[in-house]
Amino acid sequence: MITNAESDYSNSPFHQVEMIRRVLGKALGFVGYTIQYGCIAHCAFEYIGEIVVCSGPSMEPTIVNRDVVFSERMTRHLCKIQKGDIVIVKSLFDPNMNVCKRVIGLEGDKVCMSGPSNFFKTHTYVPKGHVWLEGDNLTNSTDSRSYGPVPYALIRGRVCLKLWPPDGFGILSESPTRRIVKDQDDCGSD
Amino acid sequence: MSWTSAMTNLCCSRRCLRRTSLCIRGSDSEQKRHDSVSAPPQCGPGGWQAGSNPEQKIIKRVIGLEGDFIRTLSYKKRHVRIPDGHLWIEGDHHGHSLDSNTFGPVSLALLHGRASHIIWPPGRWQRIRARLPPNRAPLVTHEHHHDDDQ
Repeated sequence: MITNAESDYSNSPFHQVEMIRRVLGKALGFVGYTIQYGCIAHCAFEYIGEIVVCSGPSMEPTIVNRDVVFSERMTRHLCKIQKGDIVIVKSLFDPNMNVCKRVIGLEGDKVCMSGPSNFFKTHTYVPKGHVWLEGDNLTNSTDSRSYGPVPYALIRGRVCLKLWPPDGFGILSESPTRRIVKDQDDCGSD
Repeated sequence: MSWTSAMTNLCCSRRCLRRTSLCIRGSDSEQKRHDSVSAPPQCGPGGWQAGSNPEQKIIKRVIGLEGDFIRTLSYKKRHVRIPDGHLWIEGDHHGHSLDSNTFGPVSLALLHGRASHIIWPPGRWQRIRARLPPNRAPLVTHEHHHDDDQ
């Protein structure tokens, strides 16, 4: 009986084992690469930065609704957050939500609790390990003026670049509200 | 999984903790209130300064969840309703622990994990049991499940 050499070869147990081995190797390689790139991506997001889409009116006019910004993590890890920085912070009341605000005061600073229109100004000191956050849009922002100082550990990153829209690309502007606490000696001259 | 200075194996994310408390352990509504968790010290809304250092982690037992009404031990207010997204945490060694009685409710976002086992020293290798210290149960719990009427 003469059989087709090709089909005979493909049906041989040796060929099947070889094929299974090849498929298995490819699958394992794919899994390995996925894990590798997953680890790299995780470290990048954890230590370098992430891209954030902002929504809501509280940071207008610096950041408007649907702006895309880049937030870097190193400043937070090195504890080098300064007054005037815009930061991404985990919400105090909902751990799955992030908010974007400007740092107005650091620990030990004296900050103004009331809005700019209030006649009576009330002041408070920011406790140790906390920051005072305010939105740039003072009339439409829920921030430290309503819920008090925020723990430093809740800061996720510092916004350093605006990526979208293209005409607004670049570093972010200074605070328009002029509410950033100056150093103690400047305060006396004001 | 990560190591902290407390040398405690942390293996449960905060989301998992909530789920654990509400679903997996749903049959025992009390259990979730005795989980030991670690979080950086902080102050809650309207709270005051704790010796806070964002790099340092503390490990405490969860006494109350959001919405619970609890009796405090040495806080400025005698009774507290825990705000949304917050926990009430206390150390097991009452009176010698820097906990919510000092700095108030702690935000859930500060939570790092649930402590599940003691792994060092080897002689004390054990699971950390979820249990509530005597007389520390919340006065009113937030849930409206049928299993919280015990």
